Amino acid sequence: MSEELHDVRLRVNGASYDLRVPARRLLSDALRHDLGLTGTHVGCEHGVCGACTVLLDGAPVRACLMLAVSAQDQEVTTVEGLGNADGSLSNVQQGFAECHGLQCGFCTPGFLTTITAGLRDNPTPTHEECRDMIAGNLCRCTGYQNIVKAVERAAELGLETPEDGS
Amino acid sequence: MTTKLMGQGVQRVEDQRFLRGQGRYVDDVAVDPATLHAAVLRSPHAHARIVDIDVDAVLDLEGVHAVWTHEDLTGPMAEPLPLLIPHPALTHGRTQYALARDEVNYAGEAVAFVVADDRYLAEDALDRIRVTYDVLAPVVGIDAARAADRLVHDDVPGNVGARMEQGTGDAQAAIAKAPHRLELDLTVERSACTPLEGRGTVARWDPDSNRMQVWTSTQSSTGVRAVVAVKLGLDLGQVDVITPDVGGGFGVKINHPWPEELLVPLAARTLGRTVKFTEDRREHFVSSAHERGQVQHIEVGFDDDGRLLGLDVEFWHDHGAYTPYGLIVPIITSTQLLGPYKPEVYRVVFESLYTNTVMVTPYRGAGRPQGCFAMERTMDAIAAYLGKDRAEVRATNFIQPDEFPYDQGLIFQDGRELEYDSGDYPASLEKIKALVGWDDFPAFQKEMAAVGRKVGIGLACYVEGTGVGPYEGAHVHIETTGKVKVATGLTTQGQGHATVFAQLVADELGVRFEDVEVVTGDTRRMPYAVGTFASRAAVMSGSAIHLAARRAKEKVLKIAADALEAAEEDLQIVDGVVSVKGSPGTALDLGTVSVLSNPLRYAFDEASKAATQFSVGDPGKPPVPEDEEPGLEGRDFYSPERATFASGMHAVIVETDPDTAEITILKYAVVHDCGRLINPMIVEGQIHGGVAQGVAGALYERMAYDENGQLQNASFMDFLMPYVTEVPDGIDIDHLETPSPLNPLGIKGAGEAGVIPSAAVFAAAIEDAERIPITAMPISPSELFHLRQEHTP
Amino acid sequence: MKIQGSNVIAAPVGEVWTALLDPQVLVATIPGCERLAATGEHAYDMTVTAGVAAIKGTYAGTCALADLVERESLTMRLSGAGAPGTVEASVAVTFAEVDGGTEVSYDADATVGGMVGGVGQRMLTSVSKRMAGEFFANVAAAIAAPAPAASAPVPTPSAPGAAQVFGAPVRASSPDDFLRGIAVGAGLVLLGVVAGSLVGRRR
Repeated sequence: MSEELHDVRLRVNGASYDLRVPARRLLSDALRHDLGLTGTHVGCEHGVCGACTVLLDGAPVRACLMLAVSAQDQEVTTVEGLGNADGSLSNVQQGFAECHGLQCGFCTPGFLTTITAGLRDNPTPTHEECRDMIAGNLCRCTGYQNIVKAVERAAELGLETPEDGS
Repeated sequence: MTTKLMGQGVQRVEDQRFLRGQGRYVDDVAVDPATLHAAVLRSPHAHARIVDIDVDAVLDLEGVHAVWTHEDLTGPMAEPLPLLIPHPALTHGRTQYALARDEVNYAGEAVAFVVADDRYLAEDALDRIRVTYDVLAPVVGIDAARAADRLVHDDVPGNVGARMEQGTGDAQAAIAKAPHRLELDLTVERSACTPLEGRGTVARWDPDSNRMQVWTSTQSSTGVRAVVAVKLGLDLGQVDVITPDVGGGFGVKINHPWPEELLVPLAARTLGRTVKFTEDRREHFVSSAHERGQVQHIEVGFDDDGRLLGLDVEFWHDHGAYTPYGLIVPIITSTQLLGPYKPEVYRVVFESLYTNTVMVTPYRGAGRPQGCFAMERTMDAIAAYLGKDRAEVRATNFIQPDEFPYDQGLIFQDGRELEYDSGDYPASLEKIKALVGWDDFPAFQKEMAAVGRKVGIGLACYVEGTGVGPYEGAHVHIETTGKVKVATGLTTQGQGHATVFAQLVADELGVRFEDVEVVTGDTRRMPYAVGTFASRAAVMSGSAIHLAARRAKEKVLKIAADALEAAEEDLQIVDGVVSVKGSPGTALDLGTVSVLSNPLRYAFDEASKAATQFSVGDPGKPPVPEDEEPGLEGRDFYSPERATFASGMHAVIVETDPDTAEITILKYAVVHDCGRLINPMIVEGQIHGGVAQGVAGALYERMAYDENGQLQNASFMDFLMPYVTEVPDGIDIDHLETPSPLNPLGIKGAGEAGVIPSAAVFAAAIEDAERIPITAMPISPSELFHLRQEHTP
Repeated sequence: MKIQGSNVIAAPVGEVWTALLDPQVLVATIPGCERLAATGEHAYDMTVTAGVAAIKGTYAGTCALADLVERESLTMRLSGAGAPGTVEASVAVTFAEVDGGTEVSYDADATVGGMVGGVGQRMLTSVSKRMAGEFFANVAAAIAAPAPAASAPVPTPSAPGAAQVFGAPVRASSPDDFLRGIAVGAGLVLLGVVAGSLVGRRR
């Protein structure tokens, strides 16, 4: 017996993909294995670590807790879609590079998407708000000190650079 | 003059791909519909005999390519996995089979191996396999192991895998004669590395070249290569192991081979397909490795100043169901327990015990946290007994700066003498006291008490033997483009090796940092290596890379001197250009030197024409001089006589809530000495990460086994890994540099430093706040609450 | 690899013995058998399409019956090769009259090579047991309610005594008829599994 497949159109980072997947295929697995967008990582598959965080219509969600079929008609943004059109790093990515906000890099995509959404909603966070913004993501390497700094630096850079990249 | 990169916080090259989501971790390899996926059926019981395995129901699934049990393994694959580090004291070492043969000894042990079109189908198959077990009562916990009412392995009496004693004399006699005596009984609970990325292996068998290619998330590429070759009956030369990007290791990935690291390559060859296995989080909890669990009994004799006259330590180490990593962890506890101190007489004995739980292999610190806990609690107890300042009692026992090298009279985990090469403990102590405000604290404590707040301060010192051997090696190749390709065989799990090692090469060779590319953990590029553990990468590979770069430079200068008709001593290399000092017109770029180093018959581009037979060379001499090789390469190895000793001190100020017993960190200070720093930004990052794991280990993390050997908190929901909210908001760090005399750059390791003294420092601070003896870690608010009740008169 | 088992067929020993020696019955009852050609007395070339899990394929092989002791025992030697791998087996078959019919017991010693060999011993044992069960159920059905006639032997004009070839019976267009035939053999535990797998499986 083989599984029933469902047609779903995913819009990821501005591009459309037509997939035929079983109902139980997780969004994280669809992104990684069906679309080859392996930047979204799976750390726990139970929604706690946040490594799989993507933006769904701009809001952070755990891709490991979603079925691919339920992302139909929604805009998905993964880490691969955060950089600027010319290939340069976004303010959030740049903040991480300058502040040594990553070590092994495995949790990083989840932080980047979360913070991108967080700074979009609050471009001038206080120190406490910066800590709060990342309080739902696990990192085992950095001990968070430099991630907090990266958020603060990203906010600074975000205020320096206009949104339209001009 | 180019600025040297040694000591600079250079931004990491790795970040460029990680930040774009272009890292290549093991599950990102071979993402292809043709790749087959494996899943493992694991024992649900902690101790049981396997009666039958019925796979009939799997036949009705589509997409299943294999279901293996132990019977499908033949030859070396059917034998137990290797015991990696044998030791004479490990009289009863045991390792598991790649798939359980007749018996399972921990819940999580691999029983059957399934390969299917995708992981979902593979797991469907797992659900349909019916195993009949004859469940046996398990042995759980050190007390049960010691009591030995039941045995884990029938042929291991008393559940004792090893008993080992080391010492410098009759400690009991020394204690008996001492003016003062104390006894302590301490407990440290089990925890685990839990990197964000679990284990995984991908393998491809290439029938055209008869080669096996393995990608695996490991800390030792050469270790895995050797065992895959042996177990699969291949020549070493037929096996390539490539370490992909690794999402954290912290020790757990040094153990090898995991059953899957053998089963996946075997399946790849048998089925003629690329096969992949990546574990899920639950599997990591129940089938990788844990560490830390010990029960300790300390007896100490001391004088009026608190000088240690006799120290006698006995401890019981829980190593789980198997001992693949030998006795490394308890040996490290035994030896590193001494820290920066010099007791007159020391004796340590331990028993390493079997339990029906996940096996124990190193976790960052690898036995040092337990040893530091024992010693630092003892120091605090002595200070309390004598009514003395805790820093002063420690200072009294320090090895002094002029006493190095100091031989502690023991054998270390590398089989060599425990001899400290360098350090300055009194200077570190002054720094930590200043950093945390040690002398001002008593007044602060009184102030807080006056308004009903409880605060406490703790201090802990440690010494860490880093850079253990046997060796590491490096290969440096300057290509005709002027780009420098560097390879070293140990592996990377986030430490920024590609950046740090490029800094060293740029400095030594005089090339631009951007032109250096470093590869780690690929046996095709550097097949002689040991691995990443014991904070050894900077020391071992750093030194080897420095030496290899120097060899390459020597060759550059030789060839350039000849080509420029100058003396070698008059040459300099700056930004990849060799020139005569003070005469910038006479110059040769490294790419050209590389061309010249390899006499050619056939040109392949414009530049290479210069090296062809009619263009260059003395017809009266051989094109490649005797004792020389073509090409611009340098290869060298670093193999020290012993480890080099880093050290450090941590201090913490905590507040405990009088009602809820919640523990808040007010200040965390670190002074560390890891010799000369290559990249201070990266070293600090290591300290931050270590402190976070230390805080977690002191306050939050434990492995909650029930009496049936079931791990009750096998997920991030219940195993309390810290978020940002659990770590201190800011860590005050100060450095001391006592360069190592044992390697050319004076480097010592820093990777584990942050986590070693944490249990000790938190126990001390909480005890100081509460005036209740803290003898077991970790401690949670509810445990503190109950302790308070127990101690209320 | 060793596989043992037994099945009870609700028919007297004599009928079971005769059925198993009849190539027309064999081609209709061996699971996946497409073609059976007699090459000698009790010796056949066969084409069988069978699969273990995802490894399905067609095997060309031989089957020879030997050591015949009428109504008591025989040895079946099988040999096959195909894309999925190779099979060599020697099966000792014994017959015993029991209450309710005939108990046919088999004791097989098999060597499986190639990709099929990689699926795992227990998978192979399970599938062998299933196929044996299917086979004996088919035999019982064939005895109880004769299956549609095998297509008549095709005489080759050239040589006299040429191999007789038995094609698989023209199966009823709907799988239900086939199933009905199988369902006749009541009391066989494996039936439910066999029926389920045949409905679900693509051959």
